[in-house]
Amino acid sequence: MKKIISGENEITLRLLAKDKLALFSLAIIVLFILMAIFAPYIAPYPEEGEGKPVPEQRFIPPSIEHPFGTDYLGRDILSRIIFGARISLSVGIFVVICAIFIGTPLGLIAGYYGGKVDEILMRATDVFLSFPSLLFAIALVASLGPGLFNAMLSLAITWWPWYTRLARAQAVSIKEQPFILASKAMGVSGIRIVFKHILPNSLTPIIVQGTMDMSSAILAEAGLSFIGLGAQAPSPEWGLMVSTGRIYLLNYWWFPVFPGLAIFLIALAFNLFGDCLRDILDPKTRKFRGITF
Amino acid sequence: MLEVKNLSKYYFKRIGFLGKKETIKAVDNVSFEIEKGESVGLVGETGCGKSTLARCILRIEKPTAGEIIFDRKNVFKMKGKEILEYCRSVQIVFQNPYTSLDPRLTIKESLLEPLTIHFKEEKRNLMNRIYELLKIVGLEDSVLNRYPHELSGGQNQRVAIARAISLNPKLLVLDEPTSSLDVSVQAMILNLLKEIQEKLNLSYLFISHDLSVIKYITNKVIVMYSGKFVEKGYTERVLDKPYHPYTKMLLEALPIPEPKNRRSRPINSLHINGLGECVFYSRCPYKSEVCEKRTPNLVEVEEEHFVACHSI
Amino acid sequence: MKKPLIEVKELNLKFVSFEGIAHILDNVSFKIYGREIFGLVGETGCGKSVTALSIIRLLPKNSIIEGSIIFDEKNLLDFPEREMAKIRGRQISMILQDPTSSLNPMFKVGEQLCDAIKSNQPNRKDVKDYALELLKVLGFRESKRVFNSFPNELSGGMQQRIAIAIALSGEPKLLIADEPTTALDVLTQAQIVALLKDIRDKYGTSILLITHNLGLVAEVCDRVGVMYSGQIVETGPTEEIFYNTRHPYTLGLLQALPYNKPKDKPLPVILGNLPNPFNPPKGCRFKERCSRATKECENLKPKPYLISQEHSVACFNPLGDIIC
Repeated sequence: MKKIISGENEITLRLLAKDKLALFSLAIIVLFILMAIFAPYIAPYPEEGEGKPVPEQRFIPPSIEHPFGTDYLGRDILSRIIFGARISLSVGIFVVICAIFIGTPLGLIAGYYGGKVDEILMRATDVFLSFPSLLFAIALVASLGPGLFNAMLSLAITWWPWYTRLARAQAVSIKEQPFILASKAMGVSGIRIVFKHILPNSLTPIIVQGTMDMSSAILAEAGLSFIGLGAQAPSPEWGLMVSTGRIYLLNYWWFPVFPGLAIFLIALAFNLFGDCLRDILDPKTRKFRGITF
Repeated sequence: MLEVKNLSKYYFKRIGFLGKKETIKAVDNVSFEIEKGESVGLVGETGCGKSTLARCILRIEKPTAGEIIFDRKNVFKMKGKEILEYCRSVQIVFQNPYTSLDPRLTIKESLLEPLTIHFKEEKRNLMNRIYELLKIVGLEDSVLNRYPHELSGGQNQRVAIARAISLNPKLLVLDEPTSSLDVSVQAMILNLLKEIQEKLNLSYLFISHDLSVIKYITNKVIVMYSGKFVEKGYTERVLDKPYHPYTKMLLEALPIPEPKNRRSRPINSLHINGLGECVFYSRCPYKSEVCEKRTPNLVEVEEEHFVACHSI
Repeated sequence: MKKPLIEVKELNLKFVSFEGIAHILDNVSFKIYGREIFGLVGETGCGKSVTALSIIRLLPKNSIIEGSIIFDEKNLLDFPEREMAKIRGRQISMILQDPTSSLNPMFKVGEQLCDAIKSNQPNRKDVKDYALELLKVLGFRESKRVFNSFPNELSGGMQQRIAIAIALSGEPKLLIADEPTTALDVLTQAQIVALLKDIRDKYGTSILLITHNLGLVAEVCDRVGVMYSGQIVETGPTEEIFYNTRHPYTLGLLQALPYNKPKDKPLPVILGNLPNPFNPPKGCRFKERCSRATKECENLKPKPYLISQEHSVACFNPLGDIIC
């Protein structure tokens, strides 16, 4: 008698490791969200976080009173990063949700109805997609005028076509499923089929894409602020902080480095989480967990 | 009750970017009737057009030519309320029970959907109707809050049948309802289908390629090949005394659960060669010159037994 | 007595997953002799495909297997993976249910066939000629044209025949066919069945045919094993199984077939559901659905025993005793 135990533990561990990564990235995201919500209570110097200059304490290196040091106007960088989380997260959420709300229904309708509707909607999205999206956003902000809200708006405008494409592909594959045909045969209206049956069944990839896009949106907005088209001083926006701090990099490194780290961390967390989410939600990878005969 | 008259459905496909348009005749000039309480079998291989025909009957697709008359009304000239009424009268059950129910809806939601659309009644009345339906198809109330993937294939198929009969239809289109099920489950579903047919006086259009199932459940049968009907008549007569070479081939190919009566089978008759006017020309062992030049029409060879073949 | 080509002895298989341990196979034993078509019948989830996968050792990673599979006087379960890879394709090969997914759509079928021949018979020089010959044996008249086509240019039946050609390229002693006709049309099914018989007659290959179609079993198999819930409940020569049925489950399956049944009577059915593999019942696994179950079945596990020379059944109250 011979026993072959080909790594049952290995599988469990691998799945858990995946899940651990998901938990870790989720923890970072939750941390940032809590930071954003309770910014005035947890920031050591809330007033400085909102932009009040304190000329007498300029460029203090990281210390116990100021863990991340202070900037060129003497403001506590930690407090500013905590307040900055509010901006970054709301930008990410606003841009992605706008994009999903505009893009998904259009894509589903194009995919389900096909024909001329499909043709018109998809050519329109093609026009949007044929510009490099960041350049397009820059052009938009330039014409609307620099500012945080305008930056968010223009990012949302350049973002939705991706969701249209994604949703359309989903709708095209789902609409041939027998349960859709059965609904049709029962006289269910087209709009109801799209939103009651096709939408819930195509949400998974859209949610995954949305999570990953949170990081791109945050990065893009930080980029816009960096070149001066997004948030304006004295806003504690991270990209803006990096931008103003970059000339001091050699002498006072903490000024640009910590906000940069914050951007890096949140973008990474959203990306990782999206990745894990896809693996967990995808029935093909999830099958691993159950048994297949 | 349902009358299909000279129905055709063509698809057009362009070969290459600027190539010629090619016509694919999925269903080509077919006619038949289904009476009340009757079950008609539709037999044929994949791609012979039986599913397209079913879709036309369900109004999911519009035919290229011909008409479908239901209760003396033309199905494709109906408007508004008439369409909804027709939807109630004709329902379908699909082959794969797992994909014919929305995976994101509970069984209750799936069953409730057609009822809420067609009957504007209180939810309590509708729920009573659902309990009644579950009793008819032999399911327990506990399935209501479950999802399709939590149920077995047989249970899902029962749910699909319950949903199909929930609107009091007169005709059920059964698109290979048992071919993805196990033998023992198939027997239960066939019994159930017979039972509800008697109880509710339903008509069936039973699509299948399993002739032993067809023989068990239908009283009329239509054999379809490449978009055309090649033989139709009463099931017993057609299957006991087939005239068309294709029907004969299908019967020969049917595996018989009797190891004592093993037959040796010719493989070569399955080779495809040559093209003729008769759709079956390329595979027919009895073909002659006439078959190449002229399309055979359905001819009545015996009472109510039609065959489309030159060689009889 | 004849020596079997392959002997599966007391095979036990468990799958470990988050939900617990699933008992997939329970003491599965059977033999396949040379030049024999052995049918393994049973319903979805009874473990018949998993048995095949255990033989060629392609089980998922979370499985625990016990028992022995003796092939050529060696236990396949003892082989390291590298040795096993040499056996696959050359000694034992397998064809799957869906031919469209077992061929690579990016390569011509001829290339795929030649690749298989090259890897299974490395010393062979006349690879292309041999490939064409194989195609001829499998009933392709225009073997050259088929050789140069892509899988999507061929029909399902033709693709399945190519898959069989690839499986035969190493001249295996055992061919495992897992539901080879389920995805095909009736006429093509008949063709593949005839082909399997042909292969056995020409090459002397033994075939393990896994199917749920009892008609198919009756047509081609020499001997049959009936599986239920991970156990083989009855084995024997095909005629014995069909005409001298002993296990109530086998009888239930046979009676449930609609073939030539009177129209006015409902089909006899097996009531109840399959037992849960995570928590199989004590005693006989079929007891809850069995009309002949007694107290004995409640607690004791029926062991297969020989009823006649070749026919064995695992049941305390087999059919036939009363009739005789």
